[in-house]
Formats: sequence, structure tokens, C-alpha cells
Amino acid sequence: MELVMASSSTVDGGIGCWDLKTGTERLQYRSCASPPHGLICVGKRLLASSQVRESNSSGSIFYWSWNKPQVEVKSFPAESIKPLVSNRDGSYIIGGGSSGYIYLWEVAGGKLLKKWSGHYRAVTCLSFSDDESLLISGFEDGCVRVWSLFMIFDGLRREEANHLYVHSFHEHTLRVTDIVSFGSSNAIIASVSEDCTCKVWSLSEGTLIGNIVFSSKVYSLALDPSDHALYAGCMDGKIYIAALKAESSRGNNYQIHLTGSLTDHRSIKAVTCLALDAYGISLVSGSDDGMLRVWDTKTRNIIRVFKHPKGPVNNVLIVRLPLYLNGQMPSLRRHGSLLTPALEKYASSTEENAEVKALIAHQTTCNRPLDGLYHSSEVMNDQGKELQQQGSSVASDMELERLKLDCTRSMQMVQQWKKMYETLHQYCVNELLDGDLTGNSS
Amino acid sequence: MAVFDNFINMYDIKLKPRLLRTLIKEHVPDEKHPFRNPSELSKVVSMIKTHKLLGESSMEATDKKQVEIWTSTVDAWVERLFSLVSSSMPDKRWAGICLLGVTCQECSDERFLASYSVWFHKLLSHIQSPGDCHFVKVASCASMSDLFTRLGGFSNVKKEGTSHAGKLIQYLLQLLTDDYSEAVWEGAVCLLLTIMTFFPSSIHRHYDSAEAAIASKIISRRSSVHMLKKFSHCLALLPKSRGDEDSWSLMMQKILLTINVHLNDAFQGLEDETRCREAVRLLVAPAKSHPPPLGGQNEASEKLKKRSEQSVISSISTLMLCCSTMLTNSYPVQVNVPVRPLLALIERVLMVDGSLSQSLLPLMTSMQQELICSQLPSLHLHSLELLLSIIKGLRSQLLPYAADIVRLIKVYLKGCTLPELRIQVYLVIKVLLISKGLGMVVYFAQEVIDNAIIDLDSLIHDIGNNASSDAYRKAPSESLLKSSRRKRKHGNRSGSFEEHNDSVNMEPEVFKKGRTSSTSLKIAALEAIECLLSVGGSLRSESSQAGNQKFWRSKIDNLLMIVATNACDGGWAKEEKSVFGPNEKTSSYADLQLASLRALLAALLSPVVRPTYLSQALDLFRRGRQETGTKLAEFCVHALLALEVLIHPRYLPLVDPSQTSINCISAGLNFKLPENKYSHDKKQNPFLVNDESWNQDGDETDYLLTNVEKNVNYPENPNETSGDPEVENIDPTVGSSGIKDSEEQEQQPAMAASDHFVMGDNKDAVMVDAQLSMENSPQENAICHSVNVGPGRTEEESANSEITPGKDFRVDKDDGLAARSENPIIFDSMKGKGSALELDDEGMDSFPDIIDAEPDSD
Repeated sequence: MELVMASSSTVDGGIGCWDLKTGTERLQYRSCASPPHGLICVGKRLLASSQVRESNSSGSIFYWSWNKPQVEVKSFPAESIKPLVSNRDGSYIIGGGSSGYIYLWEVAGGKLLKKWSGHYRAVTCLSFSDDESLLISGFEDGCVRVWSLFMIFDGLRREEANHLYVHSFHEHTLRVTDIVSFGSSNAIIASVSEDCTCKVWSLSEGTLIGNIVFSSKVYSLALDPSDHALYAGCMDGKIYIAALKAESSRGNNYQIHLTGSLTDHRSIKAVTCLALDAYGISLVSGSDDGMLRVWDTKTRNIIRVFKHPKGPVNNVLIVRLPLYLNGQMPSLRRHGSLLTPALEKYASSTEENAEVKALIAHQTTCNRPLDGLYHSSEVMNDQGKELQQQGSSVASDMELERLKLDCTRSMQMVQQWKKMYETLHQYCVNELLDGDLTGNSS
Repeated sequence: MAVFDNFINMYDIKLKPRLLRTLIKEHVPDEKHPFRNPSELSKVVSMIKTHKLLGESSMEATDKKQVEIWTSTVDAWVERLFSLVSSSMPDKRWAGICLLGVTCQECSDERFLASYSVWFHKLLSHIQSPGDCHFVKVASCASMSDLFTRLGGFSNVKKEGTSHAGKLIQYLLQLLTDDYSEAVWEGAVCLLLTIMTFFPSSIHRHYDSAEAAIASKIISRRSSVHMLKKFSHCLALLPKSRGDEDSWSLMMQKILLTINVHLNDAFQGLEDETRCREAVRLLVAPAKSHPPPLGGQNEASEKLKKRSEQSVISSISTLMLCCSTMLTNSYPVQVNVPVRPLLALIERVLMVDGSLSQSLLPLMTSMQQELICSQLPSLHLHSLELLLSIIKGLRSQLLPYAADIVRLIKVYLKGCTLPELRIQVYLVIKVLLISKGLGMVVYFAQEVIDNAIIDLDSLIHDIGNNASSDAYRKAPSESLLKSSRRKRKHGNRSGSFEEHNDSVNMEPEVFKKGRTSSTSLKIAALEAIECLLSVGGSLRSESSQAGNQKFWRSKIDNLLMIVATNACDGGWAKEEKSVFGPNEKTSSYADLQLASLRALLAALLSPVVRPTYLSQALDLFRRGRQETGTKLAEFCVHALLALEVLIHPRYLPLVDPSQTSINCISAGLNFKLPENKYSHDKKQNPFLVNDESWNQDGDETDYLLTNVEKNVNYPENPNETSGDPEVENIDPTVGSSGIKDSEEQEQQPAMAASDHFVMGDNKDAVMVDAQLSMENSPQENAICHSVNVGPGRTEEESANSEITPGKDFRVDKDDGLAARSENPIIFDSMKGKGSALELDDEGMDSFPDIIDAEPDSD
């Protein structure tokens, strides 16, 4: 089942939650005011959101578990964190700071593993490449940078290299608002910006391969890999559709066409966030007017509208829960682990002593007995062979015991026969004696 | 029963009780007659399993009477078994116990649930009684294990199962500690494993004694390797019986400490003292006390000194195996893995190569050294396996350690010459590449390629049986090696691990000469390359060596084509292994052929603009497909399917001018075309300025390219950025004529590689057309291009030529402007990559030619 989660930047806006298929409203999570790209689902175990807080110098990141509306864990990083991203396993959370620093925490222990300076302007969005080895970050001044996470953790390499990033793109002129990547080996990155353009880059080549110019500021982006279609949510309330078509199945170049738009004529408020479901059929858009619209990408019609209880929506997520949960939200404690610890504010200074927590995940294994597990017949065959050869000591052991038993049985037999013989003998003797007696007497 | 009471067929339910009765009467021993032929039992069992004689019910709805007859027959069968089990003759007892085990597996659910308790006690009495001979004990353990396996499948009897198993454990541990033969130990361990798997909590009470019993078996080292494996597995699963985080961590810590203590003994004089202290320091936090030794006995470490080195190493290997199992098996709760100590241990072992440490006086006699060196490979193998398990167990959490692991493997691979170890290293690399993706390719590409070239050496140089037509192969493969050697030296000079590998700085050349690597090593090398290509075939190898990326790709493509051709040239090898052949897994030549084809397919599919050797590869795959019934044919069909997208004309580059220009440029970067096919001077080609490999290595790919003929003309000095957003003065007619010219293969200014940045505030409905803009400034260093489909074209080339006329379209001025005014969105073309043609739906209508060529645009 798929759930739509949406949050808003208004104070105490909360996170709304709906079932995508049935449209029923689910549990609402309270006290959340998230910046754009601030709401993530961590490994399907918990919800995390960075918070918009005006006054404080430190930032804050809240966790919710699936089945409770209250905030479960509150963390306070060193500075205000806006965009968040987590890998599919949910083992890391990466946050972008307003000073341009990027923070990498491990979720299990809450440790701040790395913190590095991404740029001198605030980080506005973060995204992983398909294989989660590269991190793509967008900044306030339009800069887009690609980081290899291995490089970040590789002290020796870091010293060698004159810069940490793999690629740095400066073609955008205004704030980067959203970044999406797809494809594995020959991946592309698409980024949109307030400069009204969407730029497509080749991740492997590090070059710009396409540019689409829109008539208004673009706030959000979604890519449909099967259709090669790109959806761009704009300030004018429209979602433009562009076809990203490879010139051949292996080309590095994408020809870009604009093929239409999704428009709700009742709304001219900006489309701030987009999310596509796993099948590429339903597109959920969140808008400044507080509405969530579910579009059918085939017919381009609105199939459902949700209303966020408070204020403009700026984050939307589609969370797919595994079937075995039967629609039940997975609870943290089911897996035996206690509360997820809060994220640390500073990296521990004694780095070498700090053991990074690494966890072996609990896997649901199938416990059905397999035929391979039965082995008595195999053991029997082996033993049978051994017995016949009578080679092994074990087999001869048994043979010995058998022979001993045979022997005692034969002894018994002998005894028996002896007894019989004696009885017979006695009988005969008696007969003879009796005969003599009678003969004598007669 | 009537003599002619025949059955319908062999599936008839009536047959089953009759068969079973015959078995009982004639084949199963009884009290009266001596039991002479144990092999009879195997026939009975196979008969029971084939016909499901103990099933007591069948799919078809049958009359009750038949089922009743069947049930009573099975009753009789069980009766007979009982009498056998309690027989005074050991061989009959043995037969009864074995058959009871089979019955546990085969009988119906109802019967099992009704009588498993009785059966359990029957079997238990034999495990318990000290007088029974070993043979009977082994059989009872096996049958008991089957009973618990079956019982584990029922969720409603977990409690009873646990209590039954609990009764059994102490006798089992008694069996393990007493001086029985290895067969009995094996039976007991198997049973213990079954219980741990299905009823883990039953061991809870006996946890410590179980640990002690198993650990003493491992450390005393009197068991065979086969048994040690089972013991290690058992020890690894033991913490599951408690199921909490602490017992797992404690067990891991104990095992690691024991390994390190043993290593201290084994490696005395072979490594620095500091390293072993470091390893222990990582394991035990300074504030904490040492955990009790594994198994609880203290005397173990004293005993150990008296034993030979050989057995020390085998118990270290066993304990490593135990760690691997703990890491890869699932555990009911999340546990904290001590990654750093594990990695330190692996590094410690891998860095010992048997050479004596210089800093210390020689403490070791040559005989001791000989002993340890003979055992080191197996120890290395186990450490690599442990490394693999760490990678598997940690999944994404490996990230902070990945760089260390990579560095370790790189250093190790340099010195490692034994094929078995290299295979394992390739396997580790493969798993790393798959799990870590693009980021890992950046680190490993060069290493994998260099080493694979060394290992595939004999295949590259193998000119094949028919040397006549293959003379051309020699030159490229030699240059390939030359270049690889040059590269490696270069890599060493700037390598980051130069300072680490003083001790292991064995130049690969040392073992290159005359070394023919084993088939399995070649397969492992090919698989590593395949993996590299599938994960990151399009990535640059190093961000600093920007120009060399295309170089490694073309080198690898070339290499794989040579290898596949050479491997498959002498005809297809037979896949079937001989009945008389060796039992263990050896790779046949057929596997090598398959691996070479797999790697070739990866090279073709991994994105480049156009695969260089498509036609040769297709030929290979088509030939392979003919080998009916082999795995190879199966794969070839898959390969042809996968390549369909490249063969089919629909998928060829769409023909419009901007696209073809892109093709030319990228083709120039990717393909090393024969020199004489070029009409321009390479040195002046600005696209290749960074590609230093061009001039040196351009020849290596030439030879196979003869039928991919393309004429690519490059400009003298192309425009870098001549962004010209003024599109008002465009003269479209010149544009169309330009295209026509390019068709006539004349060198014409075609297109400006221009940058257009149209700001968001520019709301003008402006349409930028590649052709229009390029004609706007034709004298401004424009790129000239033309594509010539040469006479020696391959079939896909000719398919291309069919579409080529589609190029011929003209931009009507009015149409273009009309589209422009309607369209609020501006498309822009980017530098060096040609232009995107901006067409909205209405615009498309005015270009019917394009719609033909572009099936998806309608």
C-alpha cells in the first residue's frame, strides 16, 4: 500500500497522511514545520523532518515513529538544517546547512560521521544517485555539486585531491529548487531553479546535456523513468511535462520536448512539490494553496484531491509499505531496538576510538522446512554402505556386538540341547531300569 | 486378495498399501530372520519416497475404504518399526531407527502430530543409553533431527517442541564432551544445529556448557576440517538461543580475542609486535576488563602452545568462518558489529606474507617458516571470506570503511600471485562494485583492468588454432599490454599507497612471463570486468585524468572482443563433466567461453554511443546459439535479445541534423577511427586535446574497425562559446541549404556549438533553432560535419542509411516563426552537444519527415 505524506512550513502545520489508493485519511503527525525538502522517510522505519525555526541558532530535526502522532525524538544540530536526504536502507541521514556545510549522520547511533563544507551559500536540496554512492547538492546561488561519498570518507584521497567534489556545475543563476537523478551507469541529473530553467546533466561525463526554459520559476521536479517524462511544478500553478527522450537507447544525449502540462484551472498558486508513485502512474503535487492533487499521468486528469489542514504544502512523499505489514505501520519496537538516538551536534573528537555502530539488520527469513534439511535417509545410506564394506571401526563395532549376541544365543541353544539330552538320557536310563525291574519281577 | 485384482495405473491409490505391505513382508527385517543386507533399506526408502507410501491420503477423492486400508497398513508399518527399534540385535535396532527417521519426514501431518512424542522417547532412549553402539547413536541423532525439522514446521506445537528439545540437550552435550568417534560428534552437532534453528530457546539453560563443549572441540583441534566447519556454524548460531544484543557481541568479542591470541603465536617473528597489540586494543576498550575466554577454560591457551603450527592455523580459520557466519546470518535483534577490529584482523593476516620481519632478530627456524608458509594461503583465503561477509553483512553501512577496504585490497592484489587467492580477491571486488556502484568504479577501474589484463594474458596472446586470418590480432594485443604497463608505472608514481607497499612491491611483470593462469582465474577476471562495465561503464576512471576515460573503455572493449574471439575460436567446448572426472568444482573451458561472452555483452550494452564490435559480437552470439541444449546457447539467446535494441533500425539514432551532429562529435571521442579515414588533422582537433592517449594508442582499436566506416570531418578550430541569443536575424533558408550540403558530404560550416542562456525573465517567445543559430554566424568557427555511410558498412549501418533521407527537411520560415510565437517555452541548446530542436505539439505537425523518423514523438 502506498501512503501520501505531506507537510507544511507553517508553524505547527503537522504532517498529513493519506492512503493513495483509497483516499482515506490516516494518522496525522503533530508539531512539524518543515522547509522544502525537509521531510523524509528513513528506511520505512520512521519519519524525519528538519524544522523551520526562526530564532534559535541551532537547527532541529524531529523523528516520528509510524504509529504515534507525537514527536518521538528531537535532535538539535549545530546550525539550521534545511534539506534532508536518507538512503534506502535508512542507515544515514544527510542534511544541508544554511552555511553551506553538509552533515552526514548515521541513524543507528546518531553519530555525526562527517561534516564538510559544500559551498559558501546555503544548501537548498539534496539527492542521491541511483546507487547511492554519489550525493548531489544544490545551493542557493545556483551551484550544483556532486560528491562521492567514498571520497568524503577517504582521508588519504581527500588530502590529495584539491577539491572534494566530483563535479561542480555553475550554469544555474538563481537558487536551485529541486534535483532528481535516474539511471545507473549512464545516469542523468535534472535540476530546476528559480531562474526558470531545468538543466539536464550527464552524471558520468559531468557535462550539461540539455536545457529547458520555462516561462515561470520552477519549484519542483519529478522524473518518470519508464516514460522518460519530466514533470516540472512551476510558480504559475502549472505542471509542465517535457519528454526526455534518448536519441538512441545508448546515447548520452537527450532531446527534450515539451509535451504538455497538467493544469488545475481553479488554482494559480505555485506547485511546490511533486512525487511520483512507484509505477509512474500517479503523480502527487503539493501546492501553496494547501491542496494535494493526485494526477493520472496517462489521462492527465486529477483523480483525487487532499487538503492539508494547515497552510501551504511544501513537502510531499509517497511511502510504499511492504505487503507483509498488512497496512499496519511498522513499529520500531517490533524489531527489538529501542528508541533511535538523537543525532549528535558535533562529531566526536577522538575519532579513532569512536566505534561506528553498524547493525546487522533483522531479516524476515522464511522458516519453512525444506527437503534438504532432512538427512536421516542420507545418513542411513552412508551407514549402510559402511556396514556392507565392514571397513570402519564403527561398523565392526556393531558387527562385534551382533556376533556377541549370536554367540550368547548359541550358547543358550547349546545349554538347551544339553538339557534336553540330559532329560532324554535320564528318561532312557529310567526306562531301562524300569524294564529291568519289571523283567526281573516278571 | 484376488489374484486379478488389478490396478488402474501406477497412480492408483490401491497400489500404495499393497506396495507398502510387500515392503514390510519382504524387505524390512523382522525379529525372526537375520538381517543380512543393509542396502535393502535404501531401496525401501526410495520406494517410499517415490510413491509417497506413507502419505495416507491422496489428491483424488477416493472411497473411504481404500484410505482405511492404507491407514491400517501404515499402522502395521509403525508397529514393525517399534519392534525393530526395541530389538536386541544392534543392526535391526539401527534399521528401525533409520526407518523411523524417514517416517518422521514422510508420514501424514495427523499421524506425525499424534505420535511424535512417542517416537521422540523411543529415539531419546538410544541417545541416552551409554551402552548403545556408535552406529545406533548416529542414526538416532539423524532421525531425531528429522523429527525436530518436521516439528519446526508446525507453529502450534512450538512449546511442546521446546520442552522436548530441552530434555535432549544435556545428553547431546554429553555426547560432545565424551570421547566418542567423530561420526557421533557429527550426528550430535547436526542435531544441535537443527534444534538451534527451530527451537532456539531450548538451549537457553545450557548456553554456557554448549559454548564450552563446542569451543573446546574447535580449540583442541583434533577434528577434521569437515567437522570444524560444522562446529563453527554451531558456535555462530549459539547466540540466537538467547537472542539479545549482548550475547552476540560478547561471542564476537571472545572469538576475535581468541583469534588474535592464536595469531600472536603463529605469527611470532613474522610481524611487528605493535600490530598485534593494536588489534587487541581495538577489541577491548581500555576501561573494560577482558571477557572470559571462549568456552570458559583458561588452560586452553596453555595447551595450545604444545600443538603444532598447522593445527593453530586450522582453528584460526575455523573461528574466522564462525565470524563470517555470525555476520551473514540473520539475528532476531539489531546488533552492533565491531567493524574496526574485524578489519584490523583481516589486515593483520593479509599483510603477513611469510617473510621475516626485519626489525626483529630471527626467532624462527626455517622449518617453522616452511610450516607457516604452507598454511598461509588457506588463512588468507579465510580472511578474504571474512571480508566478503563483512561487506555482505553491513550493506550500506560499510560506507565509512569502504576506502580502507579498497586500499587494503589494492595493496594485497599487487603482491598476490596464487590463483586461488586472486579469484577470491576478484570476488570481493565484484561484490564491492555491485553493492557500491559508481563511486566504487572510480576507485577500482584501473586496478581491475590492469590485473585482468595480466590474468587474461594467455587468452589475449592466444592466436588460436587458425593463425591465418588472425594475424591482425597480435599487434593490437601487444600494444594493449605495452600501454597497460606504461599506465601502471605511471599509476605507481603518483599512487597514494606508494608508501605502504614497500614490502609487497612485487612488480606484476615478475609473474607475467610464461604464466598461464588457470581457467577459473580467467573466469573470475572476466566476471570482474563484466561487473565493472555493468556498474559504471560510462564513468571516468579518475576525475583528475579527465581525458583517459574513453581510453579505458575502448581498451576494455577491445580486450573483451579479443578474448571472446580467442576463447570461442577453437569451437565450443563440451559442458558436461565427465562421470569419472574430479568431483570438486572445477571450471571447464565451456565456463570460460560463457564468461567471455557475458563480459562481451556487458561491454556492448554498457553505454557508449555505438558499440564498436557489434557485428563481430553478433556473429559470435549467433554461432553460440546453435549449440543446442547448452548454457551457452541459452545465454546467447539472451544476449541477442538484449542487443535487439541496438540492431533494430527503430532504435538507431533519429535522423535530424542536430542529432547527427551530436553523433559525429561523440563518435569522434569514442571511436578511434583509422587514420586514413580522417580528412582532418587529428592534432588540431580540439575535442581531443585532453585525450593524450589518442596519438599513442589510437592504433590499437583500428584493426577491428574496418567495417565501421565513417567519415567524420572536424573543423579547424571550432567555436568554444559563441552564445548568440539574437535569433531575430535568422535566415532559415541558409540553414536548410546547410543541411543539404552536409548530405552531399561537403565540408561546410554546420553548427555553432553555442551556449544560450535565456534568463527566466525573458518572456519573449523565442525559438532557438540549431540550424538557424548556426547559420547566424557561419564564419564564427562553426563546426562542420558530415556523416558518410561508407561502402563497407555493416547491416546496422545500412539500416541507418535507410533513414538518412529523413534528414532532408527544411525549416519553413513562416512555420518556424509561428511556432515561436505560440510557444511560451524556450528550448535552448547547450555547448558542444548540439542543439535541441524545439517543437511543441503544433510545431511537430509542420515537420512530417521527422515524425516518420521519430516514432515516439506522436
